[in-house]
Amino acid sequence: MYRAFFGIRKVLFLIAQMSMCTGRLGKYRRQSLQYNLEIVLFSTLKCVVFINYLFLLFRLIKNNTFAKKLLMKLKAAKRWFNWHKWTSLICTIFLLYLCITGLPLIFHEEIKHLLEENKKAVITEQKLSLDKLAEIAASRYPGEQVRYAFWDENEKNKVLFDVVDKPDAPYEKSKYLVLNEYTGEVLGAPKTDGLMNIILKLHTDMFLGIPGKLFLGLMGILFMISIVSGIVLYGPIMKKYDFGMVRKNRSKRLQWLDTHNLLGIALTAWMVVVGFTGIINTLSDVILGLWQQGQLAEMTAPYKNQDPLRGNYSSLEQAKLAAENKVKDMKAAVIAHPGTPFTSKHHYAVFMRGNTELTSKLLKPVLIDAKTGLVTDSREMPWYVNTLFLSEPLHFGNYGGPVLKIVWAVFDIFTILVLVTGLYLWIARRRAEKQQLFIAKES
Amino acid sequence: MDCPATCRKTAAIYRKRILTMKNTFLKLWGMPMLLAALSLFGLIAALLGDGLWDYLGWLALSVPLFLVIRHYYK
Repeated sequence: MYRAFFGIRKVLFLIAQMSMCTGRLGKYRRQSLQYNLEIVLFSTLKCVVFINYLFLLFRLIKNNTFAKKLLMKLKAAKRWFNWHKWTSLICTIFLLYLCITGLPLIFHEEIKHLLEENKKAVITEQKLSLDKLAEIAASRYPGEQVRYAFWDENEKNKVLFDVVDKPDAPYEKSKYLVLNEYTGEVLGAPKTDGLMNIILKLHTDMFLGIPGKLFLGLMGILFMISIVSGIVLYGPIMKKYDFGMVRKNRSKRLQWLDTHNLLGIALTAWMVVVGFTGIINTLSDVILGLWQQGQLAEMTAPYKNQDPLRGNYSSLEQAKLAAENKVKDMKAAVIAHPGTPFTSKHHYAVFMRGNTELTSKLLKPVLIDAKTGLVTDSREMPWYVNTLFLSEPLHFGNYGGPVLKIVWAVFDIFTILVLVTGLYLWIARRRAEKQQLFIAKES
Repeated sequence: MDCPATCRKTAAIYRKRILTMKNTFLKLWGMPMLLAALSLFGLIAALLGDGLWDYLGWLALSVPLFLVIRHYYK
């Protein structure tokens, strides 16, 4: 375009020169009136050309991609802002609820230790047989049977039994007993209706069962969208400023905005990890169902059409030994009796825990035939079950010692601040917009 | 119109613009990316390792917290 302008100028100059040299004007060159006329003519020509050039330039700018890009950027920014606003508005109240109920849950173990009796296990020469221990536990509740046996890594020499009337009874009916593995002494009877259990229920499903869990999972998904849109908005807003700037000397609203941005961008990774693992945890029932229909059904396919077991099961102690024999370097973490959701109707399922940090979280099942006591099968869990196994510690923050729990709590409090500042910013913006409308209407 | 001089000038302008764009990108996203990387490292190190890795995890995770507090009370 620039070159074109110069081209046109050159052409006009040439025309002017030619007319001066060869035209009728040439004869009168020395006469000042004609000479001035030439100058005036040429100057007007120059002005006309220049104005034309300006018009062309203006039209070019209007059609120009640069202007279009700017307009599209503004529209896109508005769209991202609306996504951020609406996903945040819907999920904030639930996220606040989850952060607040989650805060004491970080210290679940410590608080349980304070509230419940916890005797130490006295060690004698030899551990009692598991069958004997299960008998002692079941005798406490006549007519009822043990259906799960748990070993806690942090509570050595103790075993926790779940005693209930039927293997598939709901969890509310479970009675728990902690026994000394060596002496068989009952060391405690943990309750399932304590304060921490109530807070846990509130946090996981608001006492609404599976629909409640899935609803909270949906809120988690909105939370993820809110974080992503927040990151996209961070770019244009903070482009001209230094990282971490918090303007406290101007309006309150600006201070809260800077705080919201700083906290939000600094905590992004943690919020994404804890939020996403939270969503996965809400899918635990789905994952269990998938495993039952998939790998478990495969492993117990030969038993599919057999009648359910009657009479006594094979020895629990033998089952544990067989499992530990089958998978070396792993210890039993949980044993599920036939008929419970984690195994078939004909097998004990012994879930093994490894020695390393990673393998201690990825439980591996060993299926023992409950009639013969022989190992039926043992496989690595499918990827979606292992994902769930890793999501639980990453969500709770209880895997890295006491300092990690404190760090987790601080992150949680800062997340509450992000949510609260965001809420305040929305309220303040609405108030300001209403004021502007009011002033506009008045004038 | 002499092309070489103007060509060199426009090339210099573009080069400077690209360099400033790189610098503005790092100035804007450098710290956030560093904090995210530190947080992820801290979370995973404490999960998959024991002893020393736990301590490294605590250290890495507390960096974003300290920075936030420092910037807020600067």
